[in-house]
Amino acid sequence: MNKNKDNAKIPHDELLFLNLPRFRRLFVLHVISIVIITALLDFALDDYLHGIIPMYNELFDDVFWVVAAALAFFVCTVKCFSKPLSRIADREQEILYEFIEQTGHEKKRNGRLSHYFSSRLKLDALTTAHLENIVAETDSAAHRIIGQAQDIDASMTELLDTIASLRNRSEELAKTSRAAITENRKTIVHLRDYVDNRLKGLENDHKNVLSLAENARSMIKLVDLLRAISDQTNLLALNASIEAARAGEEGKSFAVVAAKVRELSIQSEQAASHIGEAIGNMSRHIETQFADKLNKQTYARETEILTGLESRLSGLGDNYEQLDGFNRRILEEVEISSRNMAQKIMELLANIQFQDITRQQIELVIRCISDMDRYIGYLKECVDKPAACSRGCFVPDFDIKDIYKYYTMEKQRDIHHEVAGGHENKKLMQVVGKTDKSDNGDDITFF
Amino acid sequence: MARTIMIIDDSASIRMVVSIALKKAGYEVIEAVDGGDALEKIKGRKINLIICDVNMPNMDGISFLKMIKQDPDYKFTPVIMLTTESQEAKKQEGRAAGAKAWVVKPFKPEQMLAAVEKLVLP
Repeated sequence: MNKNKDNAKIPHDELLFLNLPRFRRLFVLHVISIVIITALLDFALDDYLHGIIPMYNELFDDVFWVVAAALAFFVCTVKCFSKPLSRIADREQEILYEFIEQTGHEKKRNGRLSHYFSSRLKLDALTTAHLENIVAETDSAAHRIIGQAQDIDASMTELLDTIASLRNRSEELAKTSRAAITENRKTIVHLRDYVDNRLKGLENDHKNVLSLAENARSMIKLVDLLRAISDQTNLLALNASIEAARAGEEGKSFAVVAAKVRELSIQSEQAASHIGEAIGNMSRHIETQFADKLNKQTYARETEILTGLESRLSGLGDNYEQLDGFNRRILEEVEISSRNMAQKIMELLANIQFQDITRQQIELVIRCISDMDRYIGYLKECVDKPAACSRGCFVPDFDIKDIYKYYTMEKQRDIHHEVAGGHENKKLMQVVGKTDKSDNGDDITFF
Repeated sequence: MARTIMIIDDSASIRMVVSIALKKAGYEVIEAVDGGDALEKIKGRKINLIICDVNMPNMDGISFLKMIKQDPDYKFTPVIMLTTESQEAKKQEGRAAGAKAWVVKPFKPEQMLAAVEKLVLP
């Protein structure tokens, strides 16, 4: 049935041509059947022909049937075979022309194919060389990047060590400074106490000095009293002298005493005057030299100086604490940044693994090209030396599935399934090698 | 005394990356380009752990693993396989050969270090 269907699609002449062997067999059968039929007619009609034809004899019989057979063969041939045979002859001629034409075309085509195969092998060699160069270049670049990253990492490690050292020193310094600041604060408190105590002391001293001056001034009254006593004594001595003069000789010795008393009273007055002056001077001196200094204004000025000192000391401590805080924050920030940088460097180093993965993928491509080249080599030999294929083509079958065994990562297998199709194949392959995860990393299996 | 780890990989960049990560963590590192090179370099050394690639020229990782497990000196040395291959069948092949862990590239250094810390001999 199928054969008939196939035949229906072929043009009639072609069909005839294709059926030429059958046609030949039919022609032979046709000739045989004419001979047999002629012989049978000869046998059956021999007596009858003898009766109706007077000159019928053996020779005539043979000639008659040969002519009849020839006539029948001629009629049948003309009727049945001349047209198909003519068509076959025409078709044979056409085929001959086509064959001549195709032979020439095939020679050209084979030449082009051979050239293509040669060029393809050269192109593949070139592609492979370029790919190998890419692998070498990326390998070299990866080494440089790793080297530089390693240098940066070493610098970062050094920086972190320096920061740690600085931090330790800074903390020691801060500890010492904090102790000094605490001491300063204590000193300030003492200073404040001192200032307050000094205020009280000054007030007392002021009062004492004023009292002392007052006492000194009160002593001037005693001097005045002494001077008055001296005046009275002088007056008394004068009166005694007058009375001694009146007494005459009896009063002479008394006059000497009176003169002496008078002299003493004059000296006493002079001494009292001196003492009074000295006390007055002392009182004024106390008032001017001490009392002024011990007044509130002076205290306020000193307090201001001391408060200023306290404030400056306190401010110095606060400023130092702020500076220490800034310093610590800077060190912390630098340390955090340095650690982040060190982490990024490790990530950068880890990302350089792409070079190895890319290298493996490129090496797979090179391997596929190599396999394809081997196959192209077979084809070229087949085209260049067709005689080698005379007993059957020696070119092996090429199957894209043969590449599958070279894959070393799941991504390659996925690409294969995407391009070559065959999800069934994937399922089949997964039965053989079930995958755990995609090639995203983070895949560690402990056994 | 620093513990010694051998890294076997035909990729110089992978060797360098692993080596840097391990050295930063305080390990001593010996590098080898394939199984054959590793067998030469391992002689007479105390190795606390081996990290080995699977697909390598000359001698692949699984063959190296099988050979090392026959050596009484290194029979109990833990081996981590480091590869792009994530097929379960390959993993089971590694497990059968005596691997202790299977790390798929690209790996994160901290995870690799965690695996090393877990398996490394004292």
